[in-house]
Amino acid sequence: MSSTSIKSRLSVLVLVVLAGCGERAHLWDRSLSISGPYEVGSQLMWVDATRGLAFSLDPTTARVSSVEIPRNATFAAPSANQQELLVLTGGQEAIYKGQQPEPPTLTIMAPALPPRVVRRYDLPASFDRLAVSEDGKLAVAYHSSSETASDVFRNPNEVALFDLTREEDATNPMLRTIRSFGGAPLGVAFSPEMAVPPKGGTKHVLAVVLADNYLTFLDMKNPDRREITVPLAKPDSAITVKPDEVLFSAATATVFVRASGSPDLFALSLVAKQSTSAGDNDYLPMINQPSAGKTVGDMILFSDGGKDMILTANDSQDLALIDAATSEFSIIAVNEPVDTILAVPAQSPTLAVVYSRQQPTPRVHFLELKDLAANLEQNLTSRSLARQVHQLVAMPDGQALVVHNSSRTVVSVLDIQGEHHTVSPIQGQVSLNSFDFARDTHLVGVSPGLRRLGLLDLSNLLATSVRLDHDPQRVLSVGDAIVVDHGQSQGLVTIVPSPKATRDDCRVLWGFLLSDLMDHELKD
Amino acid sequence: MKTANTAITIACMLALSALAQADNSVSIRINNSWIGDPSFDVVSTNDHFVQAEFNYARRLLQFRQAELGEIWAEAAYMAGPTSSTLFGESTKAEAFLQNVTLSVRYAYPVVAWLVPYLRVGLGVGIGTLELEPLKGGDRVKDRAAGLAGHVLAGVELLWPRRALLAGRSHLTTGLVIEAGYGFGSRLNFQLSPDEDDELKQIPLSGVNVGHLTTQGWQLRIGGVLRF
Repeated sequence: MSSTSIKSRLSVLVLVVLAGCGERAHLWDRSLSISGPYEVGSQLMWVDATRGLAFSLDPTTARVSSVEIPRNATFAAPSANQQELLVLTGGQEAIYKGQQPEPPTLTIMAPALPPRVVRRYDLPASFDRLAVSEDGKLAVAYHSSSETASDVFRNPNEVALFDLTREEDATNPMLRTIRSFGGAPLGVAFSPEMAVPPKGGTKHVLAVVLADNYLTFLDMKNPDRREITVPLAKPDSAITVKPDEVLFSAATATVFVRASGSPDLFALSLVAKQSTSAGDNDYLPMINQPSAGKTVGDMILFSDGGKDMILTANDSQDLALIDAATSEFSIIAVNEPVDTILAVPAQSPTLAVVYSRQQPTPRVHFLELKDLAANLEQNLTSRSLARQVHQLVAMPDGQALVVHNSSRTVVSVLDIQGEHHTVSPIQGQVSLNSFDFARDTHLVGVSPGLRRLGLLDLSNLLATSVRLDHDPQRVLSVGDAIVVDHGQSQGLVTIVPSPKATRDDCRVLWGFLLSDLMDHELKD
Repeated sequence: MKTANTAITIACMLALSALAQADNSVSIRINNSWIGDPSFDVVSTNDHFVQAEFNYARRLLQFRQAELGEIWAEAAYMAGPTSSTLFGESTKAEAFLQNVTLSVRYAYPVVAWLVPYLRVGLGVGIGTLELEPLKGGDRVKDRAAGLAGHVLAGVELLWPRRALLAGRSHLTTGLVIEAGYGFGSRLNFQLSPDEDDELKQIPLSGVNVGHLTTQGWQLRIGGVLRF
């Protein structure tokens, strides 16, 4: 072997020894993107989109555990019954050598220690919004209209239809591109099971995709059937009609749509029709506008004497009561601004509390829903308060929290079911940024500027507080416990075991989002 | 001709130096470790870790006047810091790792200036881990200890003392190069913010961030002084 060869080999060896230092994964240098906490079952969950981890905290035992999930979460939300957490991930390309590509996914997790992955669906495209039906059985993934595209092309009207009761297969999820008139989905509303025609007809579950100036109906029981597009504005109209709310009257097979920019409510009757070919629908939405001839600020659906009725709050300082079956309506004059309706209770309401959020006044109106069609104004009573009403939040025990100013520093408790509708002012020192109801007996709230957890006993309106050691950001009631999230990226919460607990009973958990940081290998 | 004279001169000096006795030595070495364990990624952007070692050794035995080798006992202290930033430079992670080891070295002087050896050491490894949020939050620190040791093979290249001070000196200097494997138990760290000295605080539970493993192949280069 020549000396030149030996020298060159030695040089290579030295270079390997001195420079051959394996670089760590690039993931260590990416900013952490953590969302949560999400209240799921009796636990709180967080999603770390950067590292691809889901964390679960059991407030009872103060234990935290994590599980690996796909990375780059684009959306996460609990199911309607709050028993599962659904996470959309955007997938990732293999950019670096040795990197494994990941497809976009929908991952469904149940609260456990560690969180249990119930189901996972690989997706052909990355979505960043998900709508789930009330019963948690169906879902539609779609693109938010505001997403900035990183690809050359992006189809904002691509949607994925899921049957969450089934595992992934060739038709689940089903990818569809809905017909577009230039818009992109704003949201998706699911109907309950609706027979078309109403009595004895074929049962459908519909997903209604909302977009500026039109709606798209998808039959979730037959996702391979063509979508039906219903325009809300004339093609040559310069006005944008933006659908805000959809209500479904299953008893009458009618869909009611409230939309900004529209001078009236839309009522769409679903009528049966003969399907002529495979992929054709056996129903058709027929638009019935106008219904009450009013610009609607809010609406609720309720049943009175077995009939589905719609109550709307209109900009003409009145309410409209619409028969869902016939679209016949009656006007209930209020003679004060009204644009918001609070249904009490939320399911099967018997009382509507009406007020104005857009033009706050110190007035609240109570409308008994029983026999409303017969009694109309006779069912209406009004109550004056000392201050303007900016927001009403229903509380568990027949009371409502009244927010009197936009900064939420002044609140009061309104008895909405008692005969006299008494009001108890609660003097706030700071802005009530986050609040919840603990054990249905206490209102709990925090403000970021004040290291205190405020507790209000709803039975006697006795106010107490617990001093905190860190700035609070959010408060959540989870089972018996109250958890104050301090909003730090490493994870910091104060667990208050019950509304009656003292500071000595409380516990602070620090850094739980860094648990097993060194035992968990990060790979690009 | 000049080259031949130089070679003869060096050979004479080496022969003379072999007669000298030097039972003690101190050395300072720079240790390069290659740590492939993923836990090390928290405190370093690569697998490379540099420490300094301070070493005292004493010759215990000579077998047949070193013809069959020598046994040395060593005490060494090795320490070094490493740090990195994590997650978009939101957090700085720093570690300071120290080893105190006792070693046995078997040396076999081929000639007085060329002494290959094998050394085996065992001791204590102490690690300190500190996380500092760079965008606000509590700075946290913990210390953990475990076993540490090494198995190294190397060579001492000594400078003949007679060449320095014509036979009156007991000092010998030299260069030491060694390579081998450094091992250590996994150091477990539990981090939590310090309690406030004055305020009564809610009991706080910190986080177990897992285990740091610092074992790997090593290369050490340093200077030695025998006396």
